Amino acid sequence: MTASDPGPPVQLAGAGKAYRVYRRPLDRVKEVFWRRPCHDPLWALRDVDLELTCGETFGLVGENGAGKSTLLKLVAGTLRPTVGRVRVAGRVAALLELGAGFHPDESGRENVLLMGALNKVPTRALDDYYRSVVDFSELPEAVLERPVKTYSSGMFMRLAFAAATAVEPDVLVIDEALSVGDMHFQKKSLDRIMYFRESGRTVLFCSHNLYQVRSLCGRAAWIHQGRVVALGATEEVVTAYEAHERARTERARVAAPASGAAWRPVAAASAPVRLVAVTIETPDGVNPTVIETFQPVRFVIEVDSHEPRPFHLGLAIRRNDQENVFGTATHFLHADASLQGVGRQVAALRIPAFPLLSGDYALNLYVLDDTGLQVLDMAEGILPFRVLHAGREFGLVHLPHEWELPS
Amino acid sequence: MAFPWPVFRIWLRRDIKSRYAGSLAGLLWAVISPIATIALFYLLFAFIFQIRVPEIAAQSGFFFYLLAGLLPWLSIAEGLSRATGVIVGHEGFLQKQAFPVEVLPVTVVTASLVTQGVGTLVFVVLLWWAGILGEGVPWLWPLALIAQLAMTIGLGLALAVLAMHLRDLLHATPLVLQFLFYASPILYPMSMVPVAVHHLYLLNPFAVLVRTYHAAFLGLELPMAVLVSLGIWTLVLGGGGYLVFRTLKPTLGETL
Repeated sequence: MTASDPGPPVQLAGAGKAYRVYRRPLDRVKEVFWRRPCHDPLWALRDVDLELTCGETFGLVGENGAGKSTLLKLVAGTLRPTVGRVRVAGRVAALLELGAGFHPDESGRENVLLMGALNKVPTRALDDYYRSVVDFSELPEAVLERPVKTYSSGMFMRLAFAAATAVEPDVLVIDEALSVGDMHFQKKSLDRIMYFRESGRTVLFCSHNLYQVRSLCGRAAWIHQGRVVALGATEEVVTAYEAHERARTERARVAAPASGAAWRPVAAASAPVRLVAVTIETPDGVNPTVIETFQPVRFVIEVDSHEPRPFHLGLAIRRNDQENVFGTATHFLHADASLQGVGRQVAALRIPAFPLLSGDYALNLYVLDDTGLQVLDMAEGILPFRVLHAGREFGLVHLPHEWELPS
Repeated sequence: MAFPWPVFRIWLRRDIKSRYAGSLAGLLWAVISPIATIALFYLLFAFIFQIRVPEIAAQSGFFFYLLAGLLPWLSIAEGLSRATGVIVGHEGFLQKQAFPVEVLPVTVVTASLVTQGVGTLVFVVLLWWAGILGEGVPWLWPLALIAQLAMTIGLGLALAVLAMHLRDLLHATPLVLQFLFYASPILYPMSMVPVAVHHLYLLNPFAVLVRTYHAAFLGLELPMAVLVSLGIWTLVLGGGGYLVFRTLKPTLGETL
């Protein structure tokens, strides 16, 4: 630790944000001059005490409207706290609403230069900043001279992402912004975020993709109705949140029963790797109507790869109430041995003695990039199958066990 | 707070450019329109409506008298009415983008100087052509301009932030400006005003400013009281406006 330790990069102390609701316009003025509150506060966020350590990646989870975005905006500086203190050391890059500061009638170049000036890039470094934005966005020079309103949304996002991240931030604030533009650019932007993370920048990150939160963040906070209800190691926090979500969906399901499962890969036609087929093999044959508990089972996944880039496969078995029973991915076991090669690729997950008990299940399949973060293709709720257990044990899964009886 | 000059430069360029965006002549309009207005006034007051003002000996004296006061006034009125609405108008933008909000009113006030600048240039050429350029008091001109800038920027900052709390200002400002216009010796000379109410004109910051411009360009009499009043108004509006802005700026985060 150096003598000039700048302290925590992000610090919130008792921070809260209330939106003011005035009954009459005059109350607004009264409040300004009388310095006495004349409004009904609407608290979006309250009593947040949070300190990020330098270089950590911190996740935020919570329902829509819980206050996650408000917290991110406080750190990004677009909102001021109503009470408490928010302190950010160094330069912040916020990937909140990408391109929100862009003016549609201005050229891409003009907009990028303004972003540079707003991020306090010194005037002499502005040219370099502009160059690095253009290089990253891969937009041709001619396009940058056109007003941004003529851009496709993909081009717009590419430029906005490049402009926001080219400032070499100390703190990066991200709101679900991991999917920008086409597959190629998504990969590139993800790589840049990973680069920031690895080069010791502090990242504050909010996502509904709990898988991403789990794999990226060391610590996390769960925000519920404007308050931090859990803060600590990611696994603990996310698990607590999942339990809450489960209870909530349970209630919702009564009203709306789950739709029928169907094979629906979501990847665009341009996806570099696409799911083609999945089959279940047991000693009884291919795709049997029933799997017996303890049978050896193979899940065979076929994909078409159009590029020689490496990728990973993920598979989850889920119960018919959408609850995940077991999920795994190739990089969990073989982090540095990814699948690779152009053309049809076949991989299989073998389970020597299928431990699930009687019930109806289906599969979720994922094709992931080499970092295991970007989803290239996926299919959920496919190939429903039934498991029958001949024995008398009941429940979800057969646990290895023995009874120790008094002799 | 340090003023963010780079952002201001880009924003000013954008503001001026966007006004003429898409038009064939583009930025030329910034030159064409003041010249056309001046030409129209010239035709009107030099040939048709040939009034003379006692203060000026030259032919078509009223034409020169009118322009000396009207050129700064048009800029002031435009700058202040635009400044009042500028933060309100960018509310959505400011909610999404961290932005130094003082740039907005300062930009519109500064941008309004463009027309005044071009107009003043043409005006000086006409004064020279009429042979009365020597009548003016040149050192008063920068003084008047500095006072004008300080007053309009201070007032613009205060109006812009106040309008966020009190939308009524969006309607009130143009009305008050109209009142101040007639309460300034722009359309009429001070000699037509009863001497008994001359001191009331010291209470109108823009009346004393216009009288300073009259002295700078046309060499009209400038009583010490007017100059003192100008100094006081510059401090009150410039400094006071800035203080109001600085005090209320934190409250913007609440309304945004």
